[in-house]
Amino acid sequence: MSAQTLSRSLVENLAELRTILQGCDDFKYRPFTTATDIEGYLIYSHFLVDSQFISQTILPNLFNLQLPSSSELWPKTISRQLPFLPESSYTHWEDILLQLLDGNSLILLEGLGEAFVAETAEIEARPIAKPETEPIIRGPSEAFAEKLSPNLAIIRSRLKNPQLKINQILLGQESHTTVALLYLNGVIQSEVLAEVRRRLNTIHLDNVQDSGFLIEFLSEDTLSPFPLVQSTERSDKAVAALIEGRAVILVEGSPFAILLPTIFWHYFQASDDYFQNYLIASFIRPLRYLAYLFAVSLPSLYVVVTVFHPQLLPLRFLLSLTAARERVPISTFFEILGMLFVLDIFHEASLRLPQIIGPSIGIVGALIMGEAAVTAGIVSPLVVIIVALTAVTTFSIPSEDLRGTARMFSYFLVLLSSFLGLYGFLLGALTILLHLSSLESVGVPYLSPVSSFHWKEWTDVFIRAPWSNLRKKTKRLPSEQIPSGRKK
Amino acid sequence: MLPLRIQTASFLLLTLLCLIILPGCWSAHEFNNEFILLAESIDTVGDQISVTSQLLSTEQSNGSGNSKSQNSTQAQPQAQFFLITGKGKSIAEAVSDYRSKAPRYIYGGHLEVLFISEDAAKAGIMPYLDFFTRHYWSLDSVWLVITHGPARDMLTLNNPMMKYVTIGLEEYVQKGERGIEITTLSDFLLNYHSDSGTQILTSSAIVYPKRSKMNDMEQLKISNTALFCRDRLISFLSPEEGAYYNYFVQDFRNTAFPIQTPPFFPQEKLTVNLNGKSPTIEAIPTEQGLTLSVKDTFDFEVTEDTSFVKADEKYISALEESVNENFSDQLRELIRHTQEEKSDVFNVADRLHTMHSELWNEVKANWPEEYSKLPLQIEINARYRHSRTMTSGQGYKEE
Repeated sequence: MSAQTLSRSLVENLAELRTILQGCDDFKYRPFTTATDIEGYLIYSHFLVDSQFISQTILPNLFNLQLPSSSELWPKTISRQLPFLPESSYTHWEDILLQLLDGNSLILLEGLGEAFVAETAEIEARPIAKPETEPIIRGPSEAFAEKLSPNLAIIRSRLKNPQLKINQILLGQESHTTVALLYLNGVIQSEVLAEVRRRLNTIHLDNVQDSGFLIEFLSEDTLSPFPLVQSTERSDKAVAALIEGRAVILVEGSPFAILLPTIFWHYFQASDDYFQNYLIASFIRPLRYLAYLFAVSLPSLYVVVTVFHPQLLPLRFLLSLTAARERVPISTFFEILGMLFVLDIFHEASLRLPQIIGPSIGIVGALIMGEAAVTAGIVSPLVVIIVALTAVTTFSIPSEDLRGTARMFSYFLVLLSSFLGLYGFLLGALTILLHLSSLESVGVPYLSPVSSFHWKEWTDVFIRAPWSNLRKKTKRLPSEQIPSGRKK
Repeated sequence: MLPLRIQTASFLLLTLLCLIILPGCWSAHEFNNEFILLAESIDTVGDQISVTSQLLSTEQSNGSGNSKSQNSTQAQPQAQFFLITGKGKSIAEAVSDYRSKAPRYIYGGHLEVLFISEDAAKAGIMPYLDFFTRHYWSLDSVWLVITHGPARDMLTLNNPMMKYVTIGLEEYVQKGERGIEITTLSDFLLNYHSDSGTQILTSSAIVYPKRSKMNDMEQLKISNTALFCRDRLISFLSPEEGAYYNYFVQDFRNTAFPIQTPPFFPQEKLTVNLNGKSPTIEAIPTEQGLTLSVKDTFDFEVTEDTSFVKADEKYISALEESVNENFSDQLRELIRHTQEEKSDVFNVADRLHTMHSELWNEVKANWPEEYSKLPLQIEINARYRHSRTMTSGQGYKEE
């Protein structure tokens, strides 16, 4: 870009713009002459704009524009005669280009060193739909869409509070994506807010297409398999997070909001818990924890008990187990590892397949392949049961991020258990626990408030207490208590 | 940032290295590559020890001649058990001998019962038990059973009702009609290392059918009658003595004893059911010196039709007196037997040591001799109780 600001010459400005937008055939340069014979140009990308608005409103008004002889009075006259234009005008090419690429139309006039921008953006967007990754039985079914403004509108309409602050920044050196940081002033801890802001400002990416691009930068520990940032497509969940004192980050073009800070227990809280009787929710939530434990440890415990410590089994159970395994030619380790691998392949395949075929793949995998494998004597029926149970328990975890962790750790524990038996299993479990205890999300310990023994804050951890007793505020550690290695 | 700091990672690595000396994948065995050891018997043959193992394997049944199996694409694996015997000069040699004969690894974690023959037990069982206590698998809960006659016969018991002897024995014990608790390896070792070192183990015998008919089968009879001093079998109690010994040391719920009836009752023998606490036995100082005192207070009911027991104090007193006498005689017989064998199976010494330490110091040097000479004083207080004997109230019929 040769010049930083606009010149008063229309020809020069046009030449500059054509140079910048060389090869961009979607940009139209529409000349016009005002009623007072001043030449001008309306420039826009015809894919991004509302062409009806341009032809029926903007152009007729530009043709009828009455400008005084002194060009210094033009800005005021223009804003009076063209009420659909925003008050501000632009002089820097950088700002002008961002507006143009956003779908707005640029108005350039001969003899004026400023450009006016008409808001004409009209991009076809997906309407607000039901959440696909977090479905619930009872409660609002309003998911975020890709466009940022409707997403922000949903949150504003759900949280009518002037303390709800929305800060917008541009991220991506090339993509120039708008990112909105939302928080409830007075509720969010100032240290948390400062930390989130600091991390957002450290992001240097060329391209930001989804909120997922930012997760690595917002996470404390990028090597940890545990998700330190929560994603949601549910608007009610985002609003609840704001009220709990968490920050919400929305990205233009992404239907997933990021919630910060995140603790381990957040992943076991489903939206249903708050829309149904607290007793039922309190009964179901421990089941989810149990399901997670099963999902992580069931295959490895099977290996431990059958290969290393069959003494743990009652005699009669051992006899039926032995009878079931008699024909299997491969070792228990490879049997369970193979079945887990097949399960994950089926899971992956059913995700990528069209929705009509997806479920049938699951049925083929579960029924036909399992039955065929048992009949062929490749695997024992109990392993099929164990793996099926692992799959079922995995899917009862509400968060997809944590589901992935469970699958990964089940492999990890199977490997260790096959190597060292119960010692290996305990060693692996201890390693996972140690790692979990060392994690933080924006300074909030990942296992808080359980690890800090703040009993009164356990009301929404293992159970869902009635609303009158519910205390939900994720608190950051005082900065002097944050382990120095984790400070950023 | 690394998820594990260098110090933590080094610690974990060191732990892993240390764990190599522990059981790991190098010592693991798959189910289908092993036989399951269920029961073992120890006999002495000349100067050699013979160890027989009852092993279980799940083999594929061929299903020949079975139309159902022929139609089926997959034959069902069936549990099969067989015996394998090893001989040697020591238990380790004998075990090594039979292990070398077995084509698969023998998994011993579910060894449930160890039969030791009478001959082997008389020579001392500690060398055998020592081998089992040091076993790779934890075998503390293995039952110890001393057999009348060869121990190996117990593993070949021909009884279709008992699938194999281990589970048959377990079911027999669980049924609990005789209230028998079989001594385990850890129980034995606990008593072996205690002061008195004498105890009574379970003995077993096979009752063979008198006539070989299709329906007759061999029966396993077990009772707590093998009297031990340290690790040697001294003698066997009689079955009645065994029953009274159980009554002494175990919970005697549902314990029934036949007793001689007083002359005015129509039956010769009545069976009484007891209810109450176990009797106490202790050595107490009296005017005649140390005396063995047995005290027992219990309620009893008669299991047969009791319409003849009229609600008359005379009848009831006579019945109670008869039970008292019978019990005193039986307990006296049992205790006399143990005194003759100089075997303090009731651990009287322990209680004397606790309650009268000065007296214990006087007798402890020669306790077995002292025990055998102690005068016996038995005090039984049996009370007849029968809920159906009513004198008033709803359901009472006047005769």
